[in-house]
Amino acid sequence: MKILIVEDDVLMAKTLEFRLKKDGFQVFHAADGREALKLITENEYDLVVSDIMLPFNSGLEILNYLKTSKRANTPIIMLSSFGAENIILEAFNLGADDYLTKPFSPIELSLRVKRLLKKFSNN
Amino acid sequence: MIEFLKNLYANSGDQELFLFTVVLIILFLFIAITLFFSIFYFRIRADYLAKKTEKQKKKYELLLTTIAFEAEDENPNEPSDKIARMINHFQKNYLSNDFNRKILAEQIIGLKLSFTGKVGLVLKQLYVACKLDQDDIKRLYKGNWHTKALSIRNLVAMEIREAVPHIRKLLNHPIEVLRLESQVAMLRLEPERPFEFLSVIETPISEWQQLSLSFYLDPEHNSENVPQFERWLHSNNESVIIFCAKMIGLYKQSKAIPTLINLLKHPSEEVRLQVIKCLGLLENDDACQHLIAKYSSENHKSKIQILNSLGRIGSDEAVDFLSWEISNKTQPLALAAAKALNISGFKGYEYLHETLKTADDELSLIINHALDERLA
Repeated sequence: MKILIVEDDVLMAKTLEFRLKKDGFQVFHAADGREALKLITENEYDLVVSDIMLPFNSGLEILNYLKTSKRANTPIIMLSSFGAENIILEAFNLGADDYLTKPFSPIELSLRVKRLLKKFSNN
Repeated sequence: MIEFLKNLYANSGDQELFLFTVVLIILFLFIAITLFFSIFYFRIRADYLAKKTEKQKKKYELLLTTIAFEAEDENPNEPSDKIARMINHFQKNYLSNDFNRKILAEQIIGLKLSFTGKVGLVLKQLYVACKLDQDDIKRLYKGNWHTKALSIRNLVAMEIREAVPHIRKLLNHPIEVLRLESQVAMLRLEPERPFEFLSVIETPISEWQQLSLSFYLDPEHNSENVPQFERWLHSNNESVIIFCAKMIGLYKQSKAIPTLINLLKHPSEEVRLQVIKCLGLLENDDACQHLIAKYSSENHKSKIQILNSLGRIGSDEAVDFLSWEISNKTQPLALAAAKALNISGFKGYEYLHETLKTADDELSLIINHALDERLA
């Protein structure tokens, strides 16, 4: 299964990549919003994990694009910083499937990814 | 060029002015050349440092992600030989100079701020094993205030509780930002007794500091360890009393009511105002008679606050007083009394409606204004 991680912090993205690869997923990485939109347009992913604060296009723009495009069924997990409750609410309004507040455990992300993929594959 | 200057010199009427002009030209030329080479040098140096930083970061990235990855399967309290070997590798190869140590510390802290769990614990172990915590502690004693503030943040991010005695020394630092950083550090690093520093601070706590400190008492943080703020109500620092009164009101610490009532005699207007507000928030009937007794001797601002607090208390005594006060000739006080009656409960609300039937134009205006839900 293909997962796209959208995260501008390379170190964090790599750690998540390691974790998800270990779970057997095929992981791709976009370092900013523009690159993410390009990848989402050109490729099909089973799940997207996106930070909210990103260069060029924000995570919310990616979410909005994804949920209004032909790939609206792709689940997306948003990563936010502590204290960004209003942004989380906005993300849910736009159709986010789940969110995690930093700092979080990579294992927790892994479990949420598996749960969402299972839920979406059942649907 | 020389020929040109010679001709100019020969034809010049004022030779002193000519010499002055030449000196000025030479000076500006010298400054321009120096500036050019300085800018050139600093740009090259900045580029070199950026490349060096990037290179070093890439080296660390792989190692740190590997450690974080390995940590997932480990018992964090007993790191495996593999992690121990990696830490050893770091110590031997990458920590030879300050530049490398700084980059590594930045990377570890950045990662630690994003991850909890085993990964977070192993990152802390690495930070301590590489003695990066000692670097930050040393920086608390030298350098600019912003370097010290950054070091405090690093130590808090890495949860280095051993740094508490060192950070405590900065609680009364003349720079406000540094004071705030050290106070927040105390809250984060000593969650079981988070506000102990209130006993030692001598400088005023600004509004902004108070707001930041109360944020760390948020349920998301450490509400289990909220102390009884009453113990600091006798502080010599007025801002400490004000902050504690706010916290007592927020956390409904009713045990503090007798001490708060005594503070109604405090010489500081600001302290009294906050205490009056706090007594209203605690909604305690016993405070009512003391607030009424204090009313006539207080200034206008405190009188308005007393009326509001009486409205919050809403006891019979409070409603009777407010009912009498809506006839006050000072319009803002009458309006404050009417608004207080409106929030005091059914009796006050009913009184307002009854009075409205027989009120003169001015009083009707006040009552209608107080009852207007759009202005609530």
